[in-house]
Amino acid sequence: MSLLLLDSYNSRIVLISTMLLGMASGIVGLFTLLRRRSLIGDCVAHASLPGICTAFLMSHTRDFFVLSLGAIFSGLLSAWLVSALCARTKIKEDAATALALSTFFAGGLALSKMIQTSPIGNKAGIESYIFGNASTIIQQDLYVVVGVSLFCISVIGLMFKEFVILCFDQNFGASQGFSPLLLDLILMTILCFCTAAGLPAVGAVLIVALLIIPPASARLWTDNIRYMAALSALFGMLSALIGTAISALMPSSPSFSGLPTGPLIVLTAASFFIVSLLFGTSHGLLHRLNTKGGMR
Amino acid sequence: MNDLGLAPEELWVIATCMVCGLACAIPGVFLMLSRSSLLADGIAHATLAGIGMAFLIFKSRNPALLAGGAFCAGLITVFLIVGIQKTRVLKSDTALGVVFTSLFALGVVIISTVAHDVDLDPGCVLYGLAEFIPFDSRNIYGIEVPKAFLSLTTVLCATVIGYTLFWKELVITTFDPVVAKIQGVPALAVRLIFLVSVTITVVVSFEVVGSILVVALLVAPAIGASMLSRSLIGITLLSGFLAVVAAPIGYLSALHTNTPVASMMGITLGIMCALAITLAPSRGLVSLAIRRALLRLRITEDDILGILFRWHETSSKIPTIPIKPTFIKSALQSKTPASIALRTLQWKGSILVARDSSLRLTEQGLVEAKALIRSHRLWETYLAKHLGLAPDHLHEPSERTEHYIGRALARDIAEEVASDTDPHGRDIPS
Repeated sequence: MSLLLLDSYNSRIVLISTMLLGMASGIVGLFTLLRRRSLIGDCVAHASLPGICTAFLMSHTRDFFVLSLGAIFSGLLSAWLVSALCARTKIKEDAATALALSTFFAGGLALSKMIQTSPIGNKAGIESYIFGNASTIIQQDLYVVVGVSLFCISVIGLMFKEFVILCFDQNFGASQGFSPLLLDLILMTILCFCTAAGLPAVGAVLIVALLIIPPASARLWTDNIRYMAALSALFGMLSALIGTAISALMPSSPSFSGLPTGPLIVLTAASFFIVSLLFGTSHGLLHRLNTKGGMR
Repeated sequence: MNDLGLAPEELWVIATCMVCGLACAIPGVFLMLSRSSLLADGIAHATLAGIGMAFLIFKSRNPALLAGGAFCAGLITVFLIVGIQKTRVLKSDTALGVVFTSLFALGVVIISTVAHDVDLDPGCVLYGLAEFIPFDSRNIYGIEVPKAFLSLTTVLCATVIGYTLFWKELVITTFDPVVAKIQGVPALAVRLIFLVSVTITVVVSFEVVGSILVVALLVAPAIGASMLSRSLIGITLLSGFLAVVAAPIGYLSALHTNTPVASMMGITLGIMCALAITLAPSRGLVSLAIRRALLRLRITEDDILGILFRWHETSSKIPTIPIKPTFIKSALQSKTPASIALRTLQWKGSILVARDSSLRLTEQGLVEAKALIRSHRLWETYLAKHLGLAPDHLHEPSERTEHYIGRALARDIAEEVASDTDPHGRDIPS
């Protein structure tokens, strides 16, 4: 199987980039999960669509680097809007998230329809950012994905302690001189980076799965945050590996373009989650049954 | 309506969007109040798996079958999320995120596997097909009525009747499930039935507006309405009104920009919300900012009156130098520039500015200042007498509270402390 996958330079790069992306989003997602803001990833991911479309309309290129800048910008804007709405008005976080998510996405759909009907050339592939398909990625894009993923992983690695404090005791962190606002901004920024990096392979709608499912699975196995981060990265990486492999091994014919990578990666992650939910050694259902039995 | 030059088909599209908006807006209010707005997003995404499964099993594009599949998937999502929530292994938003993304992925995989030779693609689930509503119609008493309009009207009627009948149960379960249980309302059952009604609404609506924009229809009117009204009935009616108004605006702007109707309706609702959040008369950001600025101005004015009164009090015993605006500005720590407050005080006739720019209280100003100092010293006396605060701890809290003690409260405190001097021995003006 690995022979089949690694026979060409391109498939090797695809595999490496999705695996790195899985790792990065697994680690970044863990912190948003622990901060109880898992679904902000959902918002950022949907909100990246108008950014991509605007970047395309302004630059007329399909260059992934340019488009992802647009995605990062509009993603950050939506995250900022959600926090501003929660802080300044009585609107609750879930409502603010749903509002930002759906209206940004509405804007994105309208813009993408405009692009489709416009006479601008070179517009093929904009649509693929909604659902994502690794087979349509060109090599240059992959280097961006690899770079961004490595960047996200190293930022979290360098600031691990600070982020842990941010998640568990903001006030203590503030008293130690770490600005929660700045840390939150950094976390949101790398979340947006991760989302943008995931666009070509996984798509705007499904990247949020990579930000939620691996951390949620890891949470069920351990209470130690270092192990949790490692496990989450591992789950993300393995999901990407298996999902991409299945997608690459599927036969494709002229009438059938093969299965898209993104959904397969997500389904693999989901099966890891089901296993974790049942057998997780720290919060899994079986473990819980056992301990309850022991208590009696 | 026909002055706009719209064909009957176009009017049907607008009417259907209106009914759709209305059918979504009502349950949306309760979703927002029960803090589960994102559940709508989850249900909407998950329905894709149901559509895919229905297609896989029945090999048919019969809309009723697909809608049935979507409904089942929505139900499964609701039960899975409520189930995972009950086990308490994960937070509810995490459970939601895990369930709906997995089901959505399953849906995309099934549809791209089986539907490559049929015109069923994930794209049309996202966009919705509002423009094509009139092409699938049924003849009723000689009028061609679109099927989507009929199904949405049915859902709307059922929603209105159901919510009216069980209004009390719904409200109490939404606001406080624990109290509901104590009162003998089956809270979990009411919650589940409510979520089932949301699922039905989502499934029937997304044929028209698409699976993600249905979230905008559910959430945005409720948020906008909650900025404008405080009563639950008011919010419900207003959100329905907003949704109905958004339909024609969305349709016409989509017509002009050649974009999907659903997305334009979503954007219209988003703009309405933004306007409501900024401009709402009592709770909008602008009116809040204005009120805050006015309060700050009033406090600065009070402080200036206080300074002038105290100066006046001392200068009646020993001669002092006249007070100048520069002194006031350096004495006040308030953020509003003291010069604005000085000017408004002068304009109101509370202070006089002499030729050498020294400041003096007028008769009217003296009355106002007396009332303020009275509040300040009464509060100091009260704190000293009833809370036993040390004399050097009295000024600070009174300086803050003096602005909020009205005439009636001052009278009550005066009766309570029954003293003519404050703890520092100064007279309490009457």
